[in-house]
Amino acid sequence: MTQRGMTPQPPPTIVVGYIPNELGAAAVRTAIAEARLRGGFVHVVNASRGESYVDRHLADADELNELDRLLSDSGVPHQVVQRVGLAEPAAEILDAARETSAVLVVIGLRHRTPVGKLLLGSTAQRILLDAPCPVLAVKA
Amino acid sequence: MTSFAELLGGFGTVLTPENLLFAIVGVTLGTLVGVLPGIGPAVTIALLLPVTYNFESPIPAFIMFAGIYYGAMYGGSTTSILLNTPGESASVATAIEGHEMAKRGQARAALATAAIGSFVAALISTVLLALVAKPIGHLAVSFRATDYFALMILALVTVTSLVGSSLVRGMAALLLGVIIGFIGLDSQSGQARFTFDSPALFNGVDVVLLIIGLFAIGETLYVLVKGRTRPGVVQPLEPVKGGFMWLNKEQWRRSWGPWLRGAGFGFPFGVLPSGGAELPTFLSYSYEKQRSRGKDEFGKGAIEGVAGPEAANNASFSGVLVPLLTLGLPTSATAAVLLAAFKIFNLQPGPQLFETESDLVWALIASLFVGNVMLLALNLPLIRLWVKVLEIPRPALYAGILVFATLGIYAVSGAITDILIAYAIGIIGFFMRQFDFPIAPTILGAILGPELELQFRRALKISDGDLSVFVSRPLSLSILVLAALALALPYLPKLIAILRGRPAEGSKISFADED
Amino acid sequence: MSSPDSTGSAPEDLGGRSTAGPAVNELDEDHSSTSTLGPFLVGGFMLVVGLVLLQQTFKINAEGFDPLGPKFFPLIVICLWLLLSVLYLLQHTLRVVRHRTGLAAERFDHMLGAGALVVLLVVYAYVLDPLGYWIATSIFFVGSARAMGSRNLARDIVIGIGLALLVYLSFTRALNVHLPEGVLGL
Repeated sequence: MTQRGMTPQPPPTIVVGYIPNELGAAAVRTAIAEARLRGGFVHVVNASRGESYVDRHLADADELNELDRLLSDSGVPHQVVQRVGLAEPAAEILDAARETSAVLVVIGLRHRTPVGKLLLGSTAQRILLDAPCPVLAVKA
Repeated sequence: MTSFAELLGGFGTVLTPENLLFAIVGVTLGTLVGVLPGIGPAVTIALLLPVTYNFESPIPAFIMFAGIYYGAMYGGSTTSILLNTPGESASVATAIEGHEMAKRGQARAALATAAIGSFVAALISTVLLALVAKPIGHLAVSFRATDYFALMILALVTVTSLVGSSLVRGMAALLLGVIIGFIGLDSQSGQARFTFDSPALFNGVDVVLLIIGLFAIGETLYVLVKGRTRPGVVQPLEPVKGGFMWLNKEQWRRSWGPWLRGAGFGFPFGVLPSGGAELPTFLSYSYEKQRSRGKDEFGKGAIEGVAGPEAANNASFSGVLVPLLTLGLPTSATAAVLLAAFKIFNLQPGPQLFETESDLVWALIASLFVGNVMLLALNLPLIRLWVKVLEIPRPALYAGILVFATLGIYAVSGAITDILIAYAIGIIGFFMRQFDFPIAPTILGAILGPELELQFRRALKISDGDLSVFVSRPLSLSILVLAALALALPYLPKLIAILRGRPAEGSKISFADED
Repeated sequence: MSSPDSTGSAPEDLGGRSTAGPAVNELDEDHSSTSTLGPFLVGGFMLVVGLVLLQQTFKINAEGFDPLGPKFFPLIVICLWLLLSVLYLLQHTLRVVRHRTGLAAERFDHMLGAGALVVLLVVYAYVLDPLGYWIATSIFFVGSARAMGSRNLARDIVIGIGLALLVYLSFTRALNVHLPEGVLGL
């Protein structure tokens, strides 16, 4: 264990759940804005269960590069992590929030029909309820 | 021109609302399973066999099966091009160039050249099928038991030596099938063989159980043990740029040659027992690559590399139907299932089929035309729907496959023992996959094994037990020599390398199995 | 089946962060593997099966080994099978001795899930008749999806019940295939 007193306090981390669409982009833009306000660090998580042959929520190489460019241009310190086939996206984002002692989690949120929620599960709901810190939900 | 008149009659049969409905069901189901990696037309047809038990006429069933087969090929090329995961084994060549084209923003052109090429090749090869089937059938009337024996040996050996990566494993898989074929009461002496005194085995292992077990259950266990993989990236369809049917003038000009040549490769290799569509697609690809002036475009998305192999792929199916219909000789796993289907309807494919069941044969051939027209109309506009299928989570997908597999077995007999036998076969299939034993030879062995023994004993009965009968007739002997050559064929590059005094690198030419 | 092993973890040391490219963590399973032990077991099993079948061949009720009788052809095939088993073992032994690799054999990773699935399949076969197609299939679907790693129970239940009902109705009503009605008497 490192002693907190010895090292300078790290900047507050903002964890973003990213999916390659409008919603994910909106979440990242909001996270950047928050990071500027707080002098924080943006930690982007893109996760997939990897249980289908195609997953639209998994960013491909081009989309990751695009994301990285967006973050670099903003000048905010950041890191992008992609995790495939390890756990539910919600669990990945929550784990990242805990491990980085995040001060804020940013997610995208959209309308879901009750049936859609039942069939697809709700990543957003789990994060909202279980996050160790405040959650900022962005509507695209 | 009698063939032509009969073909017109076949169209008359197919173009009824009921049969058209079966054709639509067939091509849709076929495209669906073709899009999904891992399950192919053979197991789909096997699953549907029990459903057709209650059909009054075999014609709608075969129209549906032909649709499934062609649909699977169209679906397989869609997955290859957009995802770079060949949906079925004959689409491997397409995956190379087609996916590169899609990456360069020519997804529509690649899909169109594949679909139209398949269509053109299917038309050409179906015409050829209609032309050659009857003469070959007449020729086959003069075949004797020894010739049939030799032909079956040739079919078994070529499929085994060309499929999979090891001859020893391929032959073992083949013999496993033959041994499974022994189980039950011997058809001639009535003696029980390998039944272990269990009455449940007296009737033998139904081919449907074998196919469902090896393909559906074995594949599911295999996928489960393999674990998750990184989801692929579907290339987006670019906006339509004009041109006719998504191809511009230049692309039409570059495509039509490979289409015709691909059909030229596909049909004869389908007729000859060569293990289905893999060999001709591979040959067509190499040939187009050799021929192409812009060779360096190959590997980076050359349209010829999609057009040729796809045409060859489809043409080979009509070719495969020639030995199946005229000689009762299946040369691929799917053809083996079709043979099982013929048996369910008490039809014996062979030279007489064109006389006794000419309605069925010509309806089947006509349905190939109709099915391809439907696929051309359905496939391109519905691409987005097929891609959606790939987003189904694997656990749900394979749980569904198991449900249908069990349903298929249950419908065969309703006996729990049969379901358990199929599960046990599935576990064998799983281990075969784990240790890289090919599956197709086992199916062919089980289907052809009993026939092989029948012809063997029939020939010996005529010759009074003289074993030289198999080599004394020139036709039989030459077919057997061909079989021996086919065993050596995959090792040809290695042999040549050794003869030239170079160290042999690589092992053997091989093709994937499954369908 | 438990959730697959994690291969990477989020960075612990938050001091050294930079604007480096994306870190991609995923399970990396090598599928073109070989094994030293596996093929020996397979070859041994093939040999044992061959010997049992050879013994069974002699038990076939027929006089001698007349080429026309029911014993002769199986005998040839079983002998070939034994020969191939030996060849397979030899190939593997040679490769182990010379190259220390062995023949192709994929890793047996999620065997717990596979075992659970086989048990589920067998139970499914036995409860089909007493429980009826709809109930048995719905339960089997949910169970097998879970054995294969699904963690979305609600989704599986909805799809399972729907699929089972759809199949039951379309096969019994439209296609005239008999399926067990079971306790519901549908």
